Amino acid sequence: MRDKSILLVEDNPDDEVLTRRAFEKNNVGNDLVVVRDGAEALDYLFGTGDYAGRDLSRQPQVVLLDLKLPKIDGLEVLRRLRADERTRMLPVVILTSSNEERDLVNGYSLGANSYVRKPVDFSDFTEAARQLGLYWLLLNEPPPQAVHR
Amino acid sequence: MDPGNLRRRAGAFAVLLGLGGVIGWQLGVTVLRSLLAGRATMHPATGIALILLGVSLVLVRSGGRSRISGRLAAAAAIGGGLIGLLKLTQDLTFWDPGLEDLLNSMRLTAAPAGQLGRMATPTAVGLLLAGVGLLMVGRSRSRNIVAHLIALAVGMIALFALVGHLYGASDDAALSGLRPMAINTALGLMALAVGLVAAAPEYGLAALLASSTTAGTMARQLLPIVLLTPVMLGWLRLGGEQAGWYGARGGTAIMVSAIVLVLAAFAWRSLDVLSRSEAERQRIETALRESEGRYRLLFDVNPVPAWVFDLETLRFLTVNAAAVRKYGYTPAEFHHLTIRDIRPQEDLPRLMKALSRIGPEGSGGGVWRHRTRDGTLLDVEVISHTLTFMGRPSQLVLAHDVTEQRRAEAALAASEERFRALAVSAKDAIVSADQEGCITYFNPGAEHIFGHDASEVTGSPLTLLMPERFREAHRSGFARYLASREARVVGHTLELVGLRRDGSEFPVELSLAAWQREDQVAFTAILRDVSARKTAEDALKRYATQLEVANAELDAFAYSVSHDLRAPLRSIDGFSAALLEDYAERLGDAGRDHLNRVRKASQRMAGLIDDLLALSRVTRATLNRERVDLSALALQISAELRQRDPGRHGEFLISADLHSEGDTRLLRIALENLLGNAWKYTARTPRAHIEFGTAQHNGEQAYFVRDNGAGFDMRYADKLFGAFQRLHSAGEFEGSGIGLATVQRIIHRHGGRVWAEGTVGQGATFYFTL
Repeated sequence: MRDKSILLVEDNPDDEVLTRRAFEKNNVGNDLVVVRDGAEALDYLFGTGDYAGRDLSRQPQVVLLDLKLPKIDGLEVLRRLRADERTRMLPVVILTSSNEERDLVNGYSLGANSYVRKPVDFSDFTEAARQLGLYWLLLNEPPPQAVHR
Repeated sequence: MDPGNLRRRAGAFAVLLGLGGVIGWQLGVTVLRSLLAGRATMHPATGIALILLGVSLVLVRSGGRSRISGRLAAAAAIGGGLIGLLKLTQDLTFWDPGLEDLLNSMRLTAAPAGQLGRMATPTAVGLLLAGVGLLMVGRSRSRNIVAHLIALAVGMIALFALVGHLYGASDDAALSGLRPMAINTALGLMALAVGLVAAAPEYGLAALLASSTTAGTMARQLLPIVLLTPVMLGWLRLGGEQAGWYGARGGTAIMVSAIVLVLAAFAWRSLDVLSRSEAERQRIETALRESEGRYRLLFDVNPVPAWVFDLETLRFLTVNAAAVRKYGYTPAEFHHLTIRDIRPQEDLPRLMKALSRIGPEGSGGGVWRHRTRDGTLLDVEVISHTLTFMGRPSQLVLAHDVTEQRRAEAALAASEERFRALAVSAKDAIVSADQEGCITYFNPGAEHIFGHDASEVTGSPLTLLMPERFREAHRSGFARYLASREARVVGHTLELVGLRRDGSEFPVELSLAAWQREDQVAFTAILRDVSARKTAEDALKRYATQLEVANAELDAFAYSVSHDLRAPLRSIDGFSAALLEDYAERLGDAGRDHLNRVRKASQRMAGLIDDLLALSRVTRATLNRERVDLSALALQISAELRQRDPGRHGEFLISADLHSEGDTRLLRIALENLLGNAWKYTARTPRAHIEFGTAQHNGEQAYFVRDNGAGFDMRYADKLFGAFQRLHSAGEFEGSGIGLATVQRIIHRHGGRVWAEGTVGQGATFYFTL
C-alpha cells in the first residue's frame, strides 16, 4: 500500500512550522514527516542510523528538500539518492530560499523533479504549498512500487 | 727633277750654246760654231737669239717675285723672237734687214758677212716660236697650253735637224734645198723646248711627267724610249745599208719590224702596269666603300641614339634609327630641328654655355635632360665628339637614356633614406649582422638600450649582446640556419634576454628578418627592451588574481545572502500572517494594522534583496558577446508590459532593425529596466508615448528610450544611476532604486555610456551607447 506522505528536509524550525501550517491549511499536513538535516534525511530514506529497521517499502510520495542544510547539504543528499537504485526515481522537489542560477542548474542536473523558491509573502507560500500537495499527492502518478523494494 | 731647276738649266744650256756660236765667230774657233767639223755652223744672230731666249727662260717664272725680272724676260723673249721673225721675213721676201752688217758693225763677228752663211729657215721659225712661247708662259691655263704646243713644235724642229745630222741628211737630194741647221742650234732649240715645257709644269705633258702617279712614272719611262728607239734604229739601218748588208727596201722592212717589236713590247708592258694599277684602284675603291658602309652601319643600327649636328646652325645633319625610335621624330622632322628643340626651355642657357666651350678637338659629355616629341623628359648621358661632316664643323653625339637607371637610383636612395630615418629615430634597437654573425649596423636605439657605441661594436660578434649562457645556443642556431635555411627564429617574435654593456641583463622582445644579397645572407633584428612591460604584465597578473579572489568572495557573499537573509523575513511575514489569522479579534484594528505594516516591510525587504542580488549577478555574470536584435527584444518587453497591465493604454514606438553586439541576457535586463521605467512613469500620463530608437550623439550612434511621463529634474541627474537612489517617493511610484544602477552596470560592462535628459512633468530620455 502506498504511503501518501511527504518528507520535509528542513533545518529551520520557523520554516518547519510555517510549512506545516501551510500544508495543514490545505489538508495535507497529516502526512508530513520532517527531518532536520541531510544526514537524517538519508538515514530515513535508507533505513539507517536512528531509522534502522524502518519499513523501506513505505517511502514518501515526494521529498521536499532544502539546499542549505547542516552536515550534508541538499545537493549532496540529492546526489546520493540518485546514485542508489532504491531512491533513483523518488520524486524530489527542491524547496529553498535561493534562486541563484547555479543552484537551479545543479539541482536539475542532479535529477531534481522540480524547483520551488519559498516566497517571503506567507500568502504566496500557502498557495505554493497547496499546489505542491495537490500536484504531488493527488495528480502525479508515482514511479512503480518495485523500485522501492 | 724639279721643273724650275730643269727650266733654269735648260735656259743656261741655251745661253751657253748661243755664247759658243757668237764667240766662235768672234775668235774664229770653227768648232764652237758648228760643234762638229765640216757641219753647218750656227749663224751669229742665232747665237744672240739663243742667249736672249735662254735668259728669258731663266727669268720667266720669277716674274711673281720681281716685276723687273718679268719684264726683262718678256723683253728678252721679244728680242729673241724678233731675230727669228726678221730672218724668216728675209727668207720669204728676200728683203735683207741687214742683220749681218749690224753684227759686223757691232764687232760681234770677225768674219765677213759673206762667210756667215744664212740662217736656216727652220731655225728662224723655231726662234720665233720659242719667243712667242716664252711670252705665253705663266699667264693663264689656255696660254700655257699654247706655250706647250709651241714647245712641241720647237722640239720637233730641233729633233728633225738633229736626226738629219745623225743620218747625214744634208746629202739627201730632197732636203738639199733647205739650208741645214747647225747641231748646236738644234740642241739650243731642243733645250728651249724642254725649258718651255718645264716653265708651265702644272699643265699638259709637264704635269704628267712631273706627277707621282702611275701615268707619270710610265710617261717618264716611255718618253726617252719613244724618242730614242726610232732614232737609233733608223741610224743602225742606215749604217747597215751603207755597209752594203741590205738594200733600201730590206733596210726599211727590218727597221719597221724592229720598231714595231720594241714599241709593242713597251706598249704591252705599259698596258700591263696600267691594268694592274686599275685593278688595285678598283680593289681599294671597293674596300673603301665597304669600310664606309660598315661604319655607316655602326652608326645606323647602333642601339644607342646618335646624331650629328651642325655646330654653327645647331641643326641635325643625320640621326640614327635608335634616335628616331627614342625621340619619336622621323628623320625628315629631325632635319628641321635644332638640338635646342629637344631640350626643356630652362636647360637652354646651360646648353649654350656648354656649346661655347667646345673646342676644335672637342670631346664632351655629361648628363642632360632631353624632351621627346610627346613631351616626355628623358635623363640622358651624352658623349660627343667634334668632326667634319658633309664639309661642316659638326658634333657627333651619342645619347644614352639613363632615365630608368636614374629613377631606380633615386628610388634606392629614397628607400635608403627612409630606412635610415626610421632606424635613427626608432626607440627600438635595430641591429644588422652579416653571414659571419658580426654586427654591421647598430642604430641609436640600440646604443641607448645596450649602452654600446655603434663604432665600438661594429664588426663584433652578435653574441656580445647576450649573456654568456645563451651564446652557444645562438652559435649553433646561427650555423643551422646558414646550413639549412630552416627558420626557427627568423620571421618570429621571441622573448630573449639581452646583456647591457654594464653587464646587467634585461628581457628583450626580438623579431628577426633574414635576406639574401647575392650569395651572402644578412640579418636585421629589431629588439625592444620589455622590462617595463614585463613589470606591468606581472602587476596586471597580480591584480587579476586579486580580482578573482574578490569576485569569488563576492560570489560567496551573494550566495549566502540569497539563502540566509530571506529566511528570517519569511518567519517575520509568516508568523505575522499566522497572528492575523489566529488572533484577529484580540488584536484589534490598530494591532492588525501594525502587523500588516510588518508584513509589507518584510516583503519590501525581500524585494530589495532580490534586486541587490540581480545587480550583483549582472556584475558577476560572464559577458557572452553575440549579435543582438535590440528591436525584437524591445518588442517582446513592451508586449510583456502591456500584458501585466491590460487596462492601461499607451503607445510603444520601436524602430525596426536595431542590431548590436552584446550579451543578449544582460541587454534584455537593461531594456526591461528602461522600458519598464518608462511604462511605470507614464502611468499617470493620459496619452502615454514610449519610443525606442537611435540618434547621433557626438559622432557616435546612441540608442534611446524616450517617454512623456513624469520626467525628472536635471539638477538630480547625477543621482539617477546610484544604487537605492530615488527621485520619486514610494507613494508616487514604486521602486527600489536599483534598476538604473543595474542598467548602468550592464552598459558599462559592454564598454558603453549611459546618460539621461529630462524635464519634470514632460518626460525623460535615457541614452546609451554600446
